[in-house]
Amino acid sequence: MNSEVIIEIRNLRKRYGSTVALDNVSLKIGKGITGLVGPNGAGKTTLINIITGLIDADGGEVKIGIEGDFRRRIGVIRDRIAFPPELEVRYFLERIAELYRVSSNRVRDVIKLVGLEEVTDKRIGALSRGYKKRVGIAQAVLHEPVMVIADEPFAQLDPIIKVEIRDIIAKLSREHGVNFFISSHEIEDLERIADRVVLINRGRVVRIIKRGGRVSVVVESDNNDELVTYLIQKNLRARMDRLRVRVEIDNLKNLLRILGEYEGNIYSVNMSSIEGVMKDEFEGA
Amino acid sequence: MNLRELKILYKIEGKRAESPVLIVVFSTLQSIFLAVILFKPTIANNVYGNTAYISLQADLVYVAIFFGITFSLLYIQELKNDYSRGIFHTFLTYPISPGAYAFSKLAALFVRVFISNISVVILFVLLTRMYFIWGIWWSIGLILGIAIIMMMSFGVSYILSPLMNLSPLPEMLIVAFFLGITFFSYTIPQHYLSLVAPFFTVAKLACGVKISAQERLMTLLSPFLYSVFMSLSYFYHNVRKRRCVE
Repeated sequence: MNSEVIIEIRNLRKRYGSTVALDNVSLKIGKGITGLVGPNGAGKTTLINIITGLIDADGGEVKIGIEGDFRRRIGVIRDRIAFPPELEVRYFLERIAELYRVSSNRVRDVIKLVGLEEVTDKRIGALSRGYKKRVGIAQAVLHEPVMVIADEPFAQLDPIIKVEIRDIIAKLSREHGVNFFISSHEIEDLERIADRVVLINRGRVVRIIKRGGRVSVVVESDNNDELVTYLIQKNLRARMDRLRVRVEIDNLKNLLRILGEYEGNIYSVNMSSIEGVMKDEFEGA
Repeated sequence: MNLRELKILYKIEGKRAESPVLIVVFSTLQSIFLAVILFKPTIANNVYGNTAYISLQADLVYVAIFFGITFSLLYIQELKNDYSRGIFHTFLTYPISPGAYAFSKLAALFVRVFISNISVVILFVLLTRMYFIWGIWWSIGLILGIAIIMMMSFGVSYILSPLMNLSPLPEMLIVAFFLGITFFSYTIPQHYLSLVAPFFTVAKLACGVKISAQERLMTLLSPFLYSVFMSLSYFYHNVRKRRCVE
């Protein structure tokens, strides 16, 4: 296995009765943050559950890092916040550290790293959802795994907490070298932190988008039809998308220059590298 | 079985089972059991004469069955709660065996309930001065018998724990097991009954009915029989297929 590849998935298959959840999925997950997006029923959770060993595949294989018990090599942040509510945060993390044979100094460091200092003596059941998510991140990175697998880490969080959790994940990845494989519906959050995003639909990997690749920009002007014609004349891929103009570009600077030369009014410009591709892949499917 | 793993999980589950509600509920049940032993013969003797001892034995069996069902349901309920809340699955992502998690939970609840109940029995034997009336072997026999009932009850629920996600099937099987044994108790040879349902021996002992050497032996072997079945459940929990992940 290539040293840059941490998890290698080969021909993974899973069926639930007559429903195909995963159809020969092959994927290499490397360093940094890798996102996994797809519509409901695309096979995201099945893939995550197989990698984390919660369910077994019908066929294929998953190789994670080096030899040994795979559960010591990965950390898991599950979609459900499910920790013993009766236990205090520090007590719980110390016991999990014992299971991984990790020192109590590491527990202290991780508590600081994810911002749990204020609640270490509180019971997990008494914590807010945001703090519970932090406990989830803390228990997943305690043993310095080669990869943290996270299922919907931004789900059901208010916007402020969501940004905090996103920043913690980004900080862990950029400053502490923690690798993440994140399944999420929150495309905007993923887009801000992920190095690459895997699109999955109907149990198949349909595309892998890398940061800095093709970008989808949504523009609103006083006359969108005219703007589409103008952009096409400038050799850009533009089209109407629900009363807005969507442009697929490789070079943002070029688009901004062209928009600057446009004579009409421009009301807003929003950029999304995943959303546009997803629309093409999933709505056209 | 990895003892280090069990010890850490026991610390977690032990702390979770610290609620005083458990102690209050089971100490009350235990007190009812003992009160029946103490008061029934006195009242029954005055009203009905010696035949009342037979009635007492039946009463004790029913109290013990109720006791056993409560013990068993408590564990299966706690385990099921963890399963439905996702806590069980969270622990499956740690480097432990699922059987160890289920077993440490059982051990934590058992120790919690065992200590409170045995304390109640010992206090009863000492404070009511039954020790002087019954003598040392009878008193130890009763305490040991109650300990065996508790072990057996928790054993039944652990054996059924792999079925926890099929609720209410395990709960129904627990109730059916205890009531079924009582129903067929007259048709099963007494020494086999002692092996499967040691509370019959304990009820006899509490009523002063002579028990045979075979029954005594089988009662003492009962925890081992349940341990064998519990081991099967432990292994079943651990047979989780992860062939595809290396």
